[in-house]
Amino acid sequence: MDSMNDRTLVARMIAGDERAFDEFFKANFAPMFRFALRRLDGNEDAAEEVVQAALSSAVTKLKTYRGEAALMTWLFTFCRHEIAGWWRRSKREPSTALFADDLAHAVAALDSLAMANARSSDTARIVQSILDRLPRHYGDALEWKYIDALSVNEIAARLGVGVKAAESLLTRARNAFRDAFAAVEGAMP
Amino acid sequence: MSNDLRDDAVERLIKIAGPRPAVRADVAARVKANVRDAWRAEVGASRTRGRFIWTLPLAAAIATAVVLTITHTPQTTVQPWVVAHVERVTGATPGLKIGASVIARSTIVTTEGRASFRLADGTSLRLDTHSRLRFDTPHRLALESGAVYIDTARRGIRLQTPFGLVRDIGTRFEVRLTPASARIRVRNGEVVFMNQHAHRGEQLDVVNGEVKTSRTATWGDEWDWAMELAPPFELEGAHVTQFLAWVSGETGLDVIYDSPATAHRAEATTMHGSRAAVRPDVAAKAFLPTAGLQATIRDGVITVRQ
Repeated sequence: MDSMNDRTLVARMIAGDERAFDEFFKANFAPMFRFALRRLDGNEDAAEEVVQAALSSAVTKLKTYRGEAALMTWLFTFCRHEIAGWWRRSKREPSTALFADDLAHAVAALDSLAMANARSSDTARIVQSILDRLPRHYGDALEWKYIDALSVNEIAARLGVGVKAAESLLTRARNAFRDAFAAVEGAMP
Repeated sequence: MSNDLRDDAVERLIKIAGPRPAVRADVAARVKANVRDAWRAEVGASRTRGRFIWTLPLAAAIATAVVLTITHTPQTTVQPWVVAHVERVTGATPGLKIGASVIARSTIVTTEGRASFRLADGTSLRLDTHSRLRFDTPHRLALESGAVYIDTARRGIRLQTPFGLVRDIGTRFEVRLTPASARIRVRNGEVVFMNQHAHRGEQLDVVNGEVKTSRTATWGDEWDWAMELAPPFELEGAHVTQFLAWVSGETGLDVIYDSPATAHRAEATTMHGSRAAVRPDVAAKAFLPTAGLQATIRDGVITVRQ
């Protein structure tokens, strides 16, 4: 979803549009949950608590969203704050799990992936993080295409769009994936 | 490497990574309901900023306005949101009147008195003296000081404290704060605090970030303040077993019958009368004789005899 759409969605939510809330939740909950889960050692209870707190806090501050960053990026800042609070309250140190944000590690892992062509939990996390951060539907469409092996017709049906639109969306999704991948690579020291 | 990333390379990377972890539907539904509560509260409250407690006539007028708005407006929109009603008050509770409505984002403060509230889902919430509680939504509350007792009608209540979040899993429990500590006592069911579960008869003490679990009585003087705010029981038409279940729930006492015949009589006997507007333990002794039964209370147990 681009920033214009994000701003429109937020404006509708501020106006009290229930359907806008449904769209907002559907687009952002799962990526946020996985984002938190990766940073909380896979603790589902904690991820639920943290994401609920983050989203509850965010929806009370919608008027401060200016659209300068993607809505999901803005939401991740709330999530990070809640995650830090969770670790602080639990009196424990976060594990050294690899996050896509940790770019040097990410790039190293991606290089390793390219060289070894082997699956690892770290590289999986990185690619999955990129999919979660792509604009709405892109990550789903790429998974449907390459993991579930759905045809373009089936993807179109799932998205409720025509075949041409689905093909176009897949092209944009691949390009967005490449860009995100390049951003990770470009951050390499 | 990514500049030259071809379609087949994208495919290979995604296949290697595998599918992203699925999020459980029940978790999503639970979080959505609570976040929706927060959003509705914010949208509703932003239109009514500055008001804390509305009286019932005003709420009724607003409800009428809501109906008219929905009738004439095709888009579904959020309206100011009543999340609870004041059910009982004891002692000096300035500004709190029985039957008054509480809207989302309100903060209730008690000094010398106590108050109980009924949330929209039926949950009973009781606030001790010298306490401060914020009603964010019907399912999300924040205790800032003092003590609260919660008798949940359904699981999913979340109580934020300065020390962390308390989640109930269908229960009766008390949370009491001091500036440096929190105490969570569970009378029935289960609560979760910072990944630690506490069950019936257990207490969590939170000091300096450390959580310690210990045993606690589910009855006794320390629960009395909450029992005194118990909602009255409607005697008319209720079975004795229902009455005793209410007494047990409100006092934390276990109920036993001295014989199968007594248990059968309790199941078969219907009570008559108006509201039992006295303490539940007193009510047990006062009203059971009208059903040909007697109650004795000792060591956390109500023994019912014919």
